[in-house]
Amino acid sequence: MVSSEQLTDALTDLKALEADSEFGIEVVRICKPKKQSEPLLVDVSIDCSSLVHTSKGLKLRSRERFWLCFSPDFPLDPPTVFAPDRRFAFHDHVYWMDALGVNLCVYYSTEQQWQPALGVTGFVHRFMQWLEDAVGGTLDRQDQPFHPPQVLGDLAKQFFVVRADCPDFNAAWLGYAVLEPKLENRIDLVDWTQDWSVHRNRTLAPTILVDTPFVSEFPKHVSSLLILLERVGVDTGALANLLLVHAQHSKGRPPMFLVLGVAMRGTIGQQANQHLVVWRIGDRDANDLRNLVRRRKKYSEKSAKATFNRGTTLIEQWKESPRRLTFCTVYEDRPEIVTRRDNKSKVAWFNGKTVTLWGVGALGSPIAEHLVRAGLTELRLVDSQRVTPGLLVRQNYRDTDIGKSKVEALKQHLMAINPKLRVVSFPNNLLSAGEWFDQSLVDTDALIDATASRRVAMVIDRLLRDKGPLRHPVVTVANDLHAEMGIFTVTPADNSLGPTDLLHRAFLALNNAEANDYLDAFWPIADESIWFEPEPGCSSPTFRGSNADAGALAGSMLAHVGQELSTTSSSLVICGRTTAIDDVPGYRFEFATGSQHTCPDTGYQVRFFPEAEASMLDIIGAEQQGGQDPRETGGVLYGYKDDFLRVMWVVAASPPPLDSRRAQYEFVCGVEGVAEETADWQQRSSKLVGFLGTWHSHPVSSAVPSVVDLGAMEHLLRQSGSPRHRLLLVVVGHSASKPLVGSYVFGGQSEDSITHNGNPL
Amino acid sequence: MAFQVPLRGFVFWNVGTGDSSSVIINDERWLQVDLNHKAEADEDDSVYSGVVDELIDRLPLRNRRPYLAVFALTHPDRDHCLGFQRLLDEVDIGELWFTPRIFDEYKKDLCDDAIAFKEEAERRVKATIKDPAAESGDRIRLIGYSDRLDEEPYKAFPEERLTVPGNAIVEVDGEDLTDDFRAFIHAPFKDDVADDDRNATSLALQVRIVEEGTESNVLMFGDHAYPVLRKIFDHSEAADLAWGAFLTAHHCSKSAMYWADTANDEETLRQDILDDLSVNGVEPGYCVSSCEPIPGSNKKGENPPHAKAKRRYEEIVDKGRFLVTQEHPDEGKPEPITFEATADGLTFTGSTSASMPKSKAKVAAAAVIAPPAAPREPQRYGRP
Repeated sequence: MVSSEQLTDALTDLKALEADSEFGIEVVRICKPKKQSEPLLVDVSIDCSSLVHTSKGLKLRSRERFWLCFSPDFPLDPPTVFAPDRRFAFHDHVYWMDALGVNLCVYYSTEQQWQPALGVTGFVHRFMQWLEDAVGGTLDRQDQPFHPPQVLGDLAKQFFVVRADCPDFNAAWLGYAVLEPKLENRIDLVDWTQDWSVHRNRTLAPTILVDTPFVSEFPKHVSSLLILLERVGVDTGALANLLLVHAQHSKGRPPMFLVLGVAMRGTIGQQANQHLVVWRIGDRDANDLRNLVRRRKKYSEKSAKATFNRGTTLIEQWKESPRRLTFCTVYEDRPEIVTRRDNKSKVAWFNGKTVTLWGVGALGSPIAEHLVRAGLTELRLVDSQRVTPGLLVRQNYRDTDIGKSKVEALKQHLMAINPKLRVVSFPNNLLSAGEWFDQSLVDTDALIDATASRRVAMVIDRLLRDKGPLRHPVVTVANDLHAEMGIFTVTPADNSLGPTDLLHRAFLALNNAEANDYLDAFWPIADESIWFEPEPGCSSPTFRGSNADAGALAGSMLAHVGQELSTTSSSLVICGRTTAIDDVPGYRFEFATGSQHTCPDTGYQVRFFPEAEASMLDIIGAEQQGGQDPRETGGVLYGYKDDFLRVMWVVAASPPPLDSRRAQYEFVCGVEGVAEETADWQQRSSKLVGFLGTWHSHPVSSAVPSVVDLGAMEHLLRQSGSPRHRLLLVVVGHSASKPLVGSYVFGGQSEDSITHNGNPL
Repeated sequence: MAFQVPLRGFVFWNVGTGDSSSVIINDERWLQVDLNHKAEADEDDSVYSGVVDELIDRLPLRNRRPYLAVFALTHPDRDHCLGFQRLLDEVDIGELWFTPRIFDEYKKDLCDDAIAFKEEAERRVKATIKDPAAESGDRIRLIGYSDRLDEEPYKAFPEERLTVPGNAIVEVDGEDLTDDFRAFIHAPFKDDVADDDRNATSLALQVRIVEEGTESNVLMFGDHAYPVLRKIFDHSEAADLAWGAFLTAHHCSKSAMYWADTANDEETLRQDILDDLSVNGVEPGYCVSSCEPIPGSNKKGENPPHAKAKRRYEEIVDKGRFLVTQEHPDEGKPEPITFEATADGLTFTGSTSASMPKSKAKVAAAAVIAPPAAPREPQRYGRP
């Protein structure tokens, strides 16, 4: 069995898509995980017959097979796609070989493009777009960053920090990189030269730079790399010469590195910069080279030629053997490719408290420092990232931290500010469950999520949904793309409205207020180009804000959070801007929880906006006035849902449509005006709110749907456009005496198997 | 019909779900593998080729009569021999190729045309035993193993007229065509000749025509299913498995790649057979399915052709190279599928499909869920 509910849903959705698409996508084989930590593998066949191939694009057959790999973290992580057919290898956005085939890079930015709530459907939609772009040759649009080649070989312990811009050249540049060994294993690349004698006393590394793009991935073996180098014009002789000169002039037997640059950094359509990798040549091979040049006692043209020939032969031998490539990690700090970020900030509330901080980036790291300076006694930091040079401009790290775990580096930094502070670091991925999760939250006074990640917010909502309200408040902070506006949510202790829920409600409230500045800032119409990549192709897209704004937001929001936590106990969302350059007001919304029910069969949670529940009870009350036997009544429900959280929100409950019929044991829910009302909700809520289902009352019987009710829901589902929809039936039982609400979720099935609780209707 | 028979090459006739494949070895010698002349083919505007009539019209003449050098029967099922009696009456057939299985068949289990074939085969066996150098019109070639060959009257059957799997035939009705033609025999295997399932006893062969030194190869695997196909790929050399066109086994049956080892198991995809087929295909490879138009899906237990098998074959050939005899180039007006053996290898010479493939990709559309539509009809809730 597939253990996780989410993976089971993924399979169900895929099977439903199979039916809906009439085998356009076909589930061919399923490899279910044997352990919880293993992925679910689904072998699918996709109809590509209508995709029009262009000369630049990938050539697809009428049908193509792919492995979809759903990790246990699905849908927080999207499925990965492997093409078993080697025809895909070496195409753009196709990467390393795996047992399953080559990996297709379907998401340029997972954080921006992957929406967990859309699940399999959203994934397939995106993948079909990828295939269309792939056959059309439009995966790499002009003005988008290059995808630099992956490095797949073994990793050496040495790592490089590249400080110097590459030299200008045409075609190829063969020379030497000037190195400065720093701390243990760290080597800074500070200059380039083709004149050995000028840098006689410095450490040099042979270097090859070429002005052409390279394959999508560096090979794993020396032999393959040498063949690729020949393809870009660097033959064995040239390489032998470069290495032999280095071997002759370097002293002792230190590790030998070769710096290799290919023109794959920057933006497509514009002059590309060099993407650098460093190959650590095997010690035995390096010594073989040194032995060749150092055993030559007297220089003569003849002996030099003989040495060169022996060197060439030696390298030719490398081509014949299966020696693996070892690469060094390269941290880029070249001005030509790394754009500077800026930042600084301050302030807070939390004297004597323990706080858990998720995310120690642009907001989190200054918040951490503010918290510490504000007198915090214990801070728990959770973040899996490492420090890179470009981050220093905007985040709270130092040059000596480069390459270290952020939480460890920040811990040292914070301990330096306040040596008495207790800091616990968790270098863990917030999207992957583990023991760290509970440890980071036990007895904390507040959780602050500063990741600004929609997916991490969903993790919190899922926690609240599964485990119920927490004993401490939960705060999420985020900023807009320019770090001029901030938004934060506060879930007080013992309250169940998580950040995703609160942001949905804030979205509706801001729509009502026509607060377009904030809507555009925090719910922009999807457009990846507005995101900024400081190291094109090699860094996650981020906001483009200045240091001052991000810092000001962090401090300002933290100050507000402190104030709210000390004065109110409501769930709330606040958004505002730090720069008072115009008259855009800030907003503060408080949200009442409303009642919640759980569908006994599907486990979906149904959350009522207080207004929706009140209007149902008002309509029932009005029906009972008049002294006759109470009749059934009902109406239409409007709202939205999230299939990842398995929550439905009822925003409004309408009175009976005009063509409805009410009777003692029957309610016929009419349709007059319902389409118009649905369209109105869609328009007013920027398409969040729509038709969600129906409700009706049982005056004297319980809140359990009758057989007739079940049949009605089947008809509703069939009319809804797709059996994969989920619709809600709310029954208010004993409405004449003591109303009790029952909520039932239907659907999410393929056409031929619309069931409720596993039983055909 | 607008189509043209190639100078040298292959014709897959549109005969519904059944096989009728002509191999034009040269302008004097044709090899016909199986026959399925449906009664409906004789109606006006029929979608089926009247293949016996076509052969009568198109075969080379010898002594002013249509002359077919060889008729090869993969197995005596109705959809592989329908029309044989008439062919025998109206065409001079130089040589018959068949498996000894025909001797074991009871007439009650055979259709009229299969009985006609059996009788003609037995007549020629007698003639060959009597005179191993029997002339055209009496010639036969037995293909495969049979215990019958150890018994009377077959015991005296001349060995040179017998070919077992793993060997090639280059002699066609008495003429050695070593440089131009070869039929490599893959099956039936010794273990399968007595199989209850007649399909498993099918003749399976690679037919090769050589033009100016370049090979054009077609694989014809009869009605075999996965187990025998597996054995073929396990036993045969790559050169004997190469194909420019592959006549899909058993009219695009899923049994070629979906199989259950025991009756209690569920059938599962055997990707290995598709991988092996794919590896041995020579660009530009074509899969040809000799069958009725393939539906979008099948009900459980439905006979071939199977949509599932089509989808698997589409994954191993380039777009537009999975061809169905009753769909090509147009379902309403199909034409035989033809390939010419040229100096550049096997070349598709049939009509180009006028219309786009019927199956528009529906994946992208299915992957967009519009919000649930508001109800259009009142719904009744209440007591039953």
